[in-house]
Amino acid sequence: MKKAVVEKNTKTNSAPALAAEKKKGNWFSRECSKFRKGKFLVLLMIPGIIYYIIFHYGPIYGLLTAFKDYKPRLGILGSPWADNYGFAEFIRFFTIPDVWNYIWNTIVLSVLNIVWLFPLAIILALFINELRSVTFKKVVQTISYLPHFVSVAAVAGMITLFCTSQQTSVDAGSYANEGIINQFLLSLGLIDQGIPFLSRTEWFRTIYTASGVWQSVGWSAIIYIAALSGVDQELYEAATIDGASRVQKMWHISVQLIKPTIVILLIMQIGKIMSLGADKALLLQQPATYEHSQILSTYIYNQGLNQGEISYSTAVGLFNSLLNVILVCIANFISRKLTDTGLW
Amino acid sequence: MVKDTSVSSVILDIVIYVVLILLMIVTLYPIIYILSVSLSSQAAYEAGEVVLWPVGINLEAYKEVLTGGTVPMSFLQAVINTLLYTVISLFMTTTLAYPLSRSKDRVPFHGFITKLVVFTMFFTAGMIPMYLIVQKVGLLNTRWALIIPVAITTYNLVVMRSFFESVPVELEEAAFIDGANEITIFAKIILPLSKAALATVGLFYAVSQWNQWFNAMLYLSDRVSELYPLQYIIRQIIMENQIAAEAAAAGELTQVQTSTVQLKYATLFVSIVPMLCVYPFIQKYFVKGVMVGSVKG
Repeated sequence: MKKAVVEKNTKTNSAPALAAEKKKGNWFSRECSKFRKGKFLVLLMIPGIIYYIIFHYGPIYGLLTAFKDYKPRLGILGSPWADNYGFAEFIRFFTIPDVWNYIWNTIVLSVLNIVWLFPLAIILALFINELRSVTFKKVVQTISYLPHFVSVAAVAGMITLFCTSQQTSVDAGSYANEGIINQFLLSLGLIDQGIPFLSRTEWFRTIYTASGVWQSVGWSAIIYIAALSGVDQELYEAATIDGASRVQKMWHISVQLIKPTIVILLIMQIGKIMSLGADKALLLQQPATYEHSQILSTYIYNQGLNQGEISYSTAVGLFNSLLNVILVCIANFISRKLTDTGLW
Repeated sequence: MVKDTSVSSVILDIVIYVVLILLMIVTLYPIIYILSVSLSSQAAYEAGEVVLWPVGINLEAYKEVLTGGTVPMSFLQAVINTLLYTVISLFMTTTLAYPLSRSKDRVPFHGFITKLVVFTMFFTAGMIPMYLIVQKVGLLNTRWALIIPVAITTYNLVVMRSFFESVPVELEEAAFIDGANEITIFAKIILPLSKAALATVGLFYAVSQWNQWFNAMLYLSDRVSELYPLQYIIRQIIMENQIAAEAAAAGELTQVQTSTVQLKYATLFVSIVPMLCVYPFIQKYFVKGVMVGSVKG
């Protein structure tokens, strides 16, 4: 069958194209020779390729802004180069003392997320795997997926409404301006005055991490549940005969078998530490909590779109992107060394 | 599995059930509470009586939300955006993923294009250059700014390509021999066989657009506030609360005028409820997509 296809294809090739194909070194003409037979496939790809050029490689060209003194009137190419051989904005960035704080905040929020979400998702998967009732299993799984489908904006909205406070004192009688958490604490007499959690720096990380866990613990467990369902039941039966308890079986069989999955996912998560998105932090932050809530991406947003510092925020963004690439490469390298699998 | 009735096994079962039931309560409680407050009377809320179920049923908030201009308009915008986005993205993703899933001998610059695409998964220029491009192509302050710049998600493209790769090559070869051309093979063989893949990736796109608010904030200004999608309206509620909180923190005694608590909760519930109704039916496609993506990604 294959032969027939090959013959048919060879016939449609013109002689010069064939000759070019034989010349192994000439990659470009060899690729071009495929145009004739792949006409339809090329046509199909055009919209997608144009999209990638404009909206992915366009911004990469736009990174030039970071080395320029960008003036909207003059455009990217027309704007003059920045001082210090174009690196003025980078130098400026590194001389701002708060910068290290923003980098640190980004790392802390990412690491907190990994530290909490990872073990909890694994435990959840192990527990779900132990369930014997299929119906209960389905119900638990379906409910645990729910928060994944709720938007970040809605989650932030919930948090804001639940945590809100206008510092009503405990004996005011009406808790109209307090959210459920403060209503609860006030009615139990645990606090004398409502606490505006979102305006308090020390609460930001807790709120950010807890809501993150709430939103993704069920979803993160999927991959482990799938890995566990593929485990050979005979392993468990053999262990039972050897007198292993269920907890022992969970640890010595289930956990060991999903270990490669855990390691790969963990390494990949570590590779993403610096790429924390701006959206949730922007929704939850207030100027009062910047000390903990300002991360690199929100700083870029605030500088670029609120303060109009286009060149400067592009430079910060480029620095952030480069950090991401380096981290992913390191993560991939470690993953390759340890588990023989990686992204590439 | 052999049924284990030892004490330790029973204790383990109890622990598991308690933990999982707690998880379900923690997951569902906030949603139920939002609904309850939105249906309760102002007096009951102020007295702190609303704990689980609505107290003193009151539908005023919903009447206000549904007859007021903002929420129904933004709901409509979100529906339009989601439909347009799903169709456009699915088309662009399919048309690029299919050739990339075919043999290298048939597609010119196959390897080069694949590298070009995969590179964007690891290196992105960031928010500000993207903003400049959106501005440059004249999408700023139009509905298309929420659709075109994110038309293809590379992750979804990879998922789609893996689905196409799983279609047996023999089917295609047989069709070739029967004289079918590339167009016929794509339209008559590949697409009908990939319905599940199209549904999965289409739903990925639909949900991401429905839940999207950040791009609306970036690319739409106050001048085109009629284009704001539903999730962005949620942010405005939040801002209202933050302004009130900051005023209180500054010790200003004058109360900041805000809409009623019921109205805020009702708006929040309206934004969540469509997904709440739909997700039990679409989750299996998502789970499948996650599996394909994790194997290939």
